[in-house]
Amino acid sequence: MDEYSAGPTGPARAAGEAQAARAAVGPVVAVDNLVKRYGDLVALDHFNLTIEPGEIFGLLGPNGSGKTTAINCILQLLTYDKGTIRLFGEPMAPTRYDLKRRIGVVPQNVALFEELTVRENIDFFCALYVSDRRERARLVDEAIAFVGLQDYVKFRPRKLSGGLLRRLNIACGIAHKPQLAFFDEPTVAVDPQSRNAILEGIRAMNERGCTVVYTSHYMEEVEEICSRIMIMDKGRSVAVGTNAELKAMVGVGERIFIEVAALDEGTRARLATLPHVRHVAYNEPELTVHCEQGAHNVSDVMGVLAAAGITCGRMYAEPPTLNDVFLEITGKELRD
Amino acid sequence: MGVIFRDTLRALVRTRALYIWSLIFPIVLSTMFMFMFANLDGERAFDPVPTGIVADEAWDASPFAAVVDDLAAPGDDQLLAVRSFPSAEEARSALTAGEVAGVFAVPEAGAAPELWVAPGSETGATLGADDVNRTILETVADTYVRDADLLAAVAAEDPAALADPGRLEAAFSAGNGTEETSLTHASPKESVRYYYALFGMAALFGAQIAVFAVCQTQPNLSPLGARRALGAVGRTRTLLATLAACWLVSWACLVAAFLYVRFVVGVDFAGRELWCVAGLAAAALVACALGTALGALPKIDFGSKTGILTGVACLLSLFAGLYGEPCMELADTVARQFPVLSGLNPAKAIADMFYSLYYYDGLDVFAAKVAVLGLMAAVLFAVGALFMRRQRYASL
Ligand SMILES: Nc1ncnc2c1ncn2[C@@H]1O[C@H](COP(=O)(O)OP(=O)(O)OP(=O)(O)O)[C@@H](O)[C@H]1O
Ligand SMILES: [Mg+2]
Repeated sequence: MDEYSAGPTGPARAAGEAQAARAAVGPVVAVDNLVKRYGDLVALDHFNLTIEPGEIFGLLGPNGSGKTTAINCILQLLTYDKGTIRLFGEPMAPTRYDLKRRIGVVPQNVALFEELTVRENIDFFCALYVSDRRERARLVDEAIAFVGLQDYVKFRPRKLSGGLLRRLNIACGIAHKPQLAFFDEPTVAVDPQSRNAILEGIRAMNERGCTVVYTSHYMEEVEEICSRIMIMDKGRSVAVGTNAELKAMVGVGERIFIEVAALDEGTRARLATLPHVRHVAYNEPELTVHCEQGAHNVSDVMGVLAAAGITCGRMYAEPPTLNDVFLEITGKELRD
Repeated sequence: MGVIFRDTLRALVRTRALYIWSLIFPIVLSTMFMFMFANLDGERAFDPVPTGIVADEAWDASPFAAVVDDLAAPGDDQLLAVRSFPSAEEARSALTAGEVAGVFAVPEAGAAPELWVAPGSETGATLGADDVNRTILETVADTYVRDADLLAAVAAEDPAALADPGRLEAAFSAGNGTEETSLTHASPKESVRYYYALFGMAALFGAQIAVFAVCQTQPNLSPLGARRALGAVGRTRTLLATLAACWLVSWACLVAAFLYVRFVVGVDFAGRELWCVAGLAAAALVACALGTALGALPKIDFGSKTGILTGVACLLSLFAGLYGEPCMELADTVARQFPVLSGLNPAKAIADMFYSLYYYDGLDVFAAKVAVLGLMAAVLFAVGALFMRRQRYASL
């Protein structure tokens, strides 16, 4: 993917372009009140989802929250108990091959022909959408370059490392240049380098006009590439919005960490009464202050410490994360 | 669709594990058969039996002399190698010396012929060539005595017509002389039936190819199947292309095994090799259909399906008589007493199809067997389709 020179644009620009297209076409994905049960287990509980053209939409949720189930229902692999699913403005059905032709899927579990080479695998899946041989050869070449597998075209999947295998899995899903692409946790068990390459590739696709649905339980990834994010838990959407909107929604601010030699009770109490401070913890020698959103939380805290004559060692502040949002809404950590 | 066919074919050809049952197995088993039957068939090819006769006046006067002359006539079907002895004593000493396996004599004019064998060695006491030779001589004598009246009457008019060696020969090869040899296209050899049954089993094992490929097309059977269902190619077309590839591979495996059995093992197919290859196409179709029906079963993994298939193939081959003479008798008994049940057995149908080519002059029976195989395939495909008609699944 390295050779694919994506400009330093991100979700912001993609979202901006999407704005223009939106008015004309309407949502690419529209899921309304979807209910899916596995026996007694409610995997999707009145699930709603609207994705506009040009978005990189993140589905963020812990294991078992229903991300894969939602995708499989949308793609008509699974039956569902209730709800409607429209793609590109049309009702989706198993035999809507015209709609399927415009969709690419990278499944959570690597699914390939063990006996076919890298190139043959990509060609096979591409052929499920593109019948013209010459055009396909071009698309396959592009896909190979896109995921950086040029040196491995003759390899069988079992000879590829985990990260390369994931890249092949991706290439098979997107070689036909879909208008809508689903990526179901494409970076699981992938080293940081491959992961960056994958994220870079998804951004590049999005810039070419592909709407992307991206599931993960890595909040950093989702924060990094998604223009809009849905946080899921137990088959329900608990919050939807841009990264900033979600954080504003729950009002969490940064977390401040300071090394202090000793902390007396008086100073600790004074810190706790500062306007945006929610929680103060001291675990010698580290002082942790959880804040709500505020313009000068750090200087307020430092001011109190200075006034008390306490010398500070190392100090750093972490901006709020989606984990904080999740914690705030559900009362539990996103990742255990 | 062309790509699905091509790539399925590629994938199957490269899946070496599939060859173990579909190709290696029949080759190994037929090789074992070759060694097992080497002795038996060698004897049944009737190397002429060294036979002594006491050529006195009584002998010359007996119609039996003409019979023996004809059985000793040089040619492919020569049964006896006759040495004449002027007296009984000389004949007996040659017998004792082991120069001849037995001696025919006619004690007095008009009497029935006698057979002398080496003293102290009753039939059954020893095994091997001597034993078989003696049995042949005994059968010649018995058959003659049994039909003596008739023989005598006919011999008076046309001795040559009567002493047809083929008739006696057939009496041995058919075991108890129950088969109507005049209908036979080739001279029947019992061992060919085992090779034919072997193709029945090989074809059934070949169903594994379709089990494997079908699992890879169904969303509820494999992640790969689920992924393929997301493409813009219809499920029926996917399945048809896949099955066409399976059929071709199964057929190729069977033909390769056939070529081995025909040209390396040297089994006789009555010169109808091309019809055999055509018949194998029908056998491969049944294999595909069986694999489809089995492969489509939900909630059973590939390993278990392979296990089921192995069990089914072994059981059905039992009733096709694959495992030796008692088993062949069992198969024949079942076929007589429960013709419908036996007719439902694809392994038996495939074996019978070959035998019909070998045994009958015409192709009617062969055509009927092929039609039966086609019908079986249709039913099995329908069963498979029943399991695979679902487009969406409650769970994957
Ligand atoms: N075939 C099935 N039968 C029964 N229950 C299932 C089945 N598949 C999934 N589930 C259950 O449905 C719920 C949602 O599962 P799903 O796979 O959609 O979660 P997910 O968000 O994709 O999780 P992960 O991050 O682990 O991939 C889970 O509780 C899971 O146990
Ligand atoms: Mg999942």
